[in-house]
Amino acid sequence: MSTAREVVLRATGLTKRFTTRRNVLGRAVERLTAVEDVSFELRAGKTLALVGESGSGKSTTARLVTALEKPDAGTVEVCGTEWTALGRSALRRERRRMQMVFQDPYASLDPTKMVVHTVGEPLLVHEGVRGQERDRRVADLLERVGLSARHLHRYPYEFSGGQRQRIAIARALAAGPDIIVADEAVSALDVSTQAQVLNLLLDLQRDSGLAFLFISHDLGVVRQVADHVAVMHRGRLVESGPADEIYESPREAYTKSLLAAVPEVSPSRRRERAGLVTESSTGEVVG
Amino acid sequence: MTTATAAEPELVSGPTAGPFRRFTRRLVRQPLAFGSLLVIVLLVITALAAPLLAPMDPNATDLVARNQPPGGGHLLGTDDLGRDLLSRLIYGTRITLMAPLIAVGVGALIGVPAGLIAGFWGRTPDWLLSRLADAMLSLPSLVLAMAIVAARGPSTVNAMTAVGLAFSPRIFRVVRGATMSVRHEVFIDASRAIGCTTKRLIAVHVLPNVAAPLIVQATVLLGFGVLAEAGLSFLGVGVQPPEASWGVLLRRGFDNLYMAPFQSIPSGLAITVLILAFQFLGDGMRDSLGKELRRA
Repeated sequence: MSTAREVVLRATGLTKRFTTRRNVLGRAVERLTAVEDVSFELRAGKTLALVGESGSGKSTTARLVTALEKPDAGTVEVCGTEWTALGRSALRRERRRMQMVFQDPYASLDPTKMVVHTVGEPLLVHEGVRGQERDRRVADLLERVGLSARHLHRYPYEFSGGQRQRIAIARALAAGPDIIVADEAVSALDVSTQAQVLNLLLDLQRDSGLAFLFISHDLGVVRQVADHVAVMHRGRLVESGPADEIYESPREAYTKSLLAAVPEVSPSRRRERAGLVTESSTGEVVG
Repeated sequence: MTTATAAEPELVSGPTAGPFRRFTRRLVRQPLAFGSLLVIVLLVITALAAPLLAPMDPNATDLVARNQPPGGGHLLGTDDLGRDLLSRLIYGTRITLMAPLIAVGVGALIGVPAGLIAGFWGRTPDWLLSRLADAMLSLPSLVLAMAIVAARGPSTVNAMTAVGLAFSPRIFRVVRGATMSVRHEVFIDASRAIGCTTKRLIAVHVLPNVAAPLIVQATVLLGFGVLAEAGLSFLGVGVQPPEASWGVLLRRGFDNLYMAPFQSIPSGLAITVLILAFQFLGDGMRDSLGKELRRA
């Protein structure tokens, strides 16, 4: 077994409930199960896509995996370390192994910080790098994501959405992670920018063997990047497997209706797909 | 907006220039704010150099020359004990500048950390601190000041510490509210995912993002501080005679308004100018910070 194929991220039985109503005594009377018994594995250098409609629990899963929320049950194991069992400071040190890129590039960068400080934060926090050494390394990172050293001292408001997402990616890379969790990382971008950012992610994966947990509602996008696909519906994993298998011969009705919702440009492909959809009841189709 | 919003990109090379330099550069470009800064700097110099600037001893009484009009030997006239008003105004700068700073300093020292804690953690800490703040707001600040002075003896510092205590719930509320809205921003999660400590999150990411409303509130309270000092001194719990402050001079002039109307004009004008300078400087500071803020 080669090391390139080892499991870097393993989620087992993740469950999360949110209290939606409390009685006068503050006791929970109504709960919403956002994620229930979700398990998956991600191998080094591979991309696992978590797909589903909005409200299916994808983003909550991302937050559970990255330890931004505590799961009610289940474990998360990153590179052999069980994150869910770590103490606070140990978890903080481990966090550099898995970094996150968020959906909204307008909200994920601190508006009061220059790019050099935003991207340099992981360097400062994990390695204590500051000053000119920091400037140099941040400039390198910016070049890796297609920006340049001349952007070091700019503020987020001076950048477009696509550029901001590149900054967010540079920040994630700064920690030197094995895994990047991309929560709808390209959904907020326009289509041409989307393609550029996706290509950037793929290039980075090829160059440095990063594993991606790619969360998206957009199966068209997922198709371009994913090795494996896991489909979520109402907080559960309904189907998972190699991407080609899921796209070519989906087993679950929900997966089929999800696939049917992808806009298709080519007329021949449309006809092809028409045959596919007829089996699933139209009432199940989700927008 | 007064200045162009970073139309030309600054191609800064070399080591990272501090955000503070950017801030001051912008501040200096705003005429009103820069003028206010100059006024305040001049007043500070006046306060420091008072013995050199004052033409006479501010406490020397001359009962023969009482309530003299401006001109003659006294540029601004004399008060009801024959003391030179210009000298008293110059010496009074010291307390007048110091008093509101003490008050706002004490208020911020209590209000800012409490507001950050309540806003960031919410739930029980927030409930406790908010109820405490409500309780303090319901106490009349004058009564609070008198109680503290009764316990610790009359002095400017004691009186202004009390005013600062009364200011703290106002600062608390502003900081708490701003913190609550910043806490749920994605960039806070982003920094947590990087591995920042909570301390760093609050100090480096939350605090700068609540700075704008905080600065405005602080400058408004500086203005209130000047007036509070005048009021407390009038009641005899603040500045102790024969020491002078602008507030004391104004009150004293007010007592003699029918006999010598000129007495209250210089100190009144000075207080007005000082409060305006605080306000304009605060607005300028907020705008200098605001350029980095995300436009929705």
